[in-house]
Amino acid sequence: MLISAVDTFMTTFSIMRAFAPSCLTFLAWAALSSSLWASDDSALSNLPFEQLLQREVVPASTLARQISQSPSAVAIVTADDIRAYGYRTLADVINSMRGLYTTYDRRYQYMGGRGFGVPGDYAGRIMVLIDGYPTQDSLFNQAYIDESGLLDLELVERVEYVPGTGSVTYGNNAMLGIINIVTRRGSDVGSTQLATEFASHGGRKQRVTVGRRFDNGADLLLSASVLASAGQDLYFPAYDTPANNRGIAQDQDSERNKRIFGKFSFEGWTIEGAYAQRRKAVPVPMRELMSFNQPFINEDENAFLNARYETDLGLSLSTSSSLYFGHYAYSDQRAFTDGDIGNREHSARWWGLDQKFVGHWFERHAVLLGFEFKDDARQLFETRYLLPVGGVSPKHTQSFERRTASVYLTDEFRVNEDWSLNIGVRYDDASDLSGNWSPRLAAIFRQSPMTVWKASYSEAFRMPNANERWRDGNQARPEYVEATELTLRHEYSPNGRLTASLYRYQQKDVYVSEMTWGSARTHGAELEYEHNWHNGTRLRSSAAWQKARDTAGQDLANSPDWLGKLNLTALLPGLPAVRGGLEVQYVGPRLTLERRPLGSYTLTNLTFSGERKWHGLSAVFSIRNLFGRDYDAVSPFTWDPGTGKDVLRMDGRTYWLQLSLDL
Amino acid sequence: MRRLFVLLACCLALNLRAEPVSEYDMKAIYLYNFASYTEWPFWGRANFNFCVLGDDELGNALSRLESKKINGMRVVVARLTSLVAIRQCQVLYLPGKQHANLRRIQSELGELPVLTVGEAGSEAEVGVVLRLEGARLEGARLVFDLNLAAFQRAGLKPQETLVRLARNVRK
Repeated sequence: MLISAVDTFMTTFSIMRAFAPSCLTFLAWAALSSSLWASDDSALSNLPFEQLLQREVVPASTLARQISQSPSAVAIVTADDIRAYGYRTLADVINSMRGLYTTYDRRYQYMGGRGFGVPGDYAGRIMVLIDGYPTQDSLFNQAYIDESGLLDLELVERVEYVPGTGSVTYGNNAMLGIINIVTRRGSDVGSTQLATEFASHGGRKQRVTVGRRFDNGADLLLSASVLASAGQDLYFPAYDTPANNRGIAQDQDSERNKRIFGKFSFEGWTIEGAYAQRRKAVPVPMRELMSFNQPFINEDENAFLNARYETDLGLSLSTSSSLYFGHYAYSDQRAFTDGDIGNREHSARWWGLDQKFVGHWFERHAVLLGFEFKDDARQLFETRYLLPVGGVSPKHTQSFERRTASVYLTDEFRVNEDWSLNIGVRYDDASDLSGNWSPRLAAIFRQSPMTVWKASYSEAFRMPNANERWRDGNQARPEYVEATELTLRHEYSPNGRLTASLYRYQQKDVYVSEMTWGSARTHGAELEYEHNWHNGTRLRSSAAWQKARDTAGQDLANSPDWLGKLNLTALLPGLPAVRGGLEVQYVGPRLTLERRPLGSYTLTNLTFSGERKWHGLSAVFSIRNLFGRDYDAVSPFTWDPGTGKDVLRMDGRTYWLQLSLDL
Repeated sequence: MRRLFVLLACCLALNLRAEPVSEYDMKAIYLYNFASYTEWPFWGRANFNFCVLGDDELGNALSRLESKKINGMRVVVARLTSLVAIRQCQVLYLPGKQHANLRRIQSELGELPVLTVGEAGSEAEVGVVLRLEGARLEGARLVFDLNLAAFQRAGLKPQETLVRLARNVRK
């Protein structure tokens, strides 16, 4: 009885049949090449074992490996890509991903895509997770993707992007998508590594990383880094008057940061923590009364500690428990035209507990049941003025708190060999809001082992963050989105993959300005092609088209209709120890906040990296904006219409060199 | 816009089919060979069960071997997501992320004739460890180490060929 049940179980999970040729000719052609590839395989299995041992294999590095059963298509950037393309911040990684872009106002990098991305919108509506821990701060719900972010990219094994809403698992904030960063293990580093970096405009960075795996299986990774950059004397034509130093912001672009990261894992335990502090001078005034070419210093401090225990309890039940603590502090000093200096000191502390159970009690079902409790225990806003006569104004202080209890349940149901369903719902109950349900329903159809279709409908929401409660008082309200998406993933061969996606987002209660909210909609299409060759050449290219309407039904500002990406990396012919990485990014025309059209631009980045270490030494050299293209970003600082202050000139050609030594 | 399409069209045209073997396909064939070069006790069943615990890609690759036979038994591939059925396996592949469960798996299997195959880091617990050797992308080869104690515990015996071809043999 048991044996036959097991046999049924095994047959269920065995090979999927290929059937029904696709309507699209290229898919048919692809299926043909796939079948050829499958037959290669059986020839291989007849080879004597001795000969097999001599065959080269293509490691499953970049493709396919971590594609989860997520109802949306996943994009992955690996540690190899980070090195090959000379990425320095998460924003660089995001800019290489299908349908995504970032906007920099020389203060923060903001992320955009799929109808989100109004500049200055801290709450990027994207969730950034580090090994499953949500990194958003509890004041602005901002994900820090620039030098204020928590991680050095050298500690990253992989960045996964799951487009589409994720509230069904993560609740608040996961509206546009989820970026999950998987950090490296100590054993991946395996030594002590020293690194030093030189960048244009006086940039320097030092890093020390220690990685170790102990005989008992414990794994430790520790890393610390400091960065300092003098920045540029930037010229802003819109401020070009004699009173404004002819539009030159002198020494107002400096940046420093320090970061510490540690991770220890043993058996089912992982304890992980990070601290990052950044100080950035901002060269443009945010508001009318602020002075140009006077110090406007921003400081961000982010930290977390997360302890997780995962185990298999037997009886088809595994469990994952996390306890986390987070800290964020923001401060700035801004000079006003009347001589006052404004000073803000905001800070937040939070902690939470997340408990997941995964059960395989029923044949064909994988059930996940989770509970989360989060206490945003302190959300403090403090402002004061340093007066020119030497006094200090009384501090204005306001604080908030929120407790959120959530429960979520999802079921992956394999209906038969070709079809599965992914059904889930999450309920979030916050102390200052009424409860909210976030459902998701997805159907997955495996037309063949190489061709998978996924269709999904989901609803997600975002609670008003503390900053909005501070700004809008009791008018602050949650924002909602309904998302529908159809994706196709087709693997031509073990090395080539095509991903296509069509989506529609309907947003409700989007903040417009001054206590008004409205509805907005976006639809779009994305196409991505990836291929890895056995000689180490890797190609990833994508095109995304989106049509985003704002609450007035007009084209949304800072939302380009077209985005194109091309990433190609290969060992240099004749110089096999050096890898070249070429990156081309196209951003289509878009509107500024004053609804002025802004032309498209194409950026090219070129990177050379050492493929092998020489006595433990290795180097990466990168040129960003290779052709010195002049281009502007949409500025969030729009207090002076008609003067051209609605755009900000971005960097021309810059250079970056990283040297690292393994001891 | 048109340039973008041309760009994409070029990318598609570049899709020349690559000849070398993917890591998953090769691992699958290795697993098949491990089973073939091992002496199994007779237990009178029609099926020979290859199990993969939580690695769908390898499971897919293995599935292509389902027409084959080992000692006259039909190869069946099970992609498992939990430990419930592992006692029914003949070959059990444990990817790196299962290392935290190794002790539980060992005690679950006891002295059953199950050949466990793992990745680097599980040398002490499993019968065979598969490793990629060489640069990550060029000249990478799949090598394996044997742990004879684990074979013994399971009442299995590796044939001489297998011992000869192993990179390291642990007594």
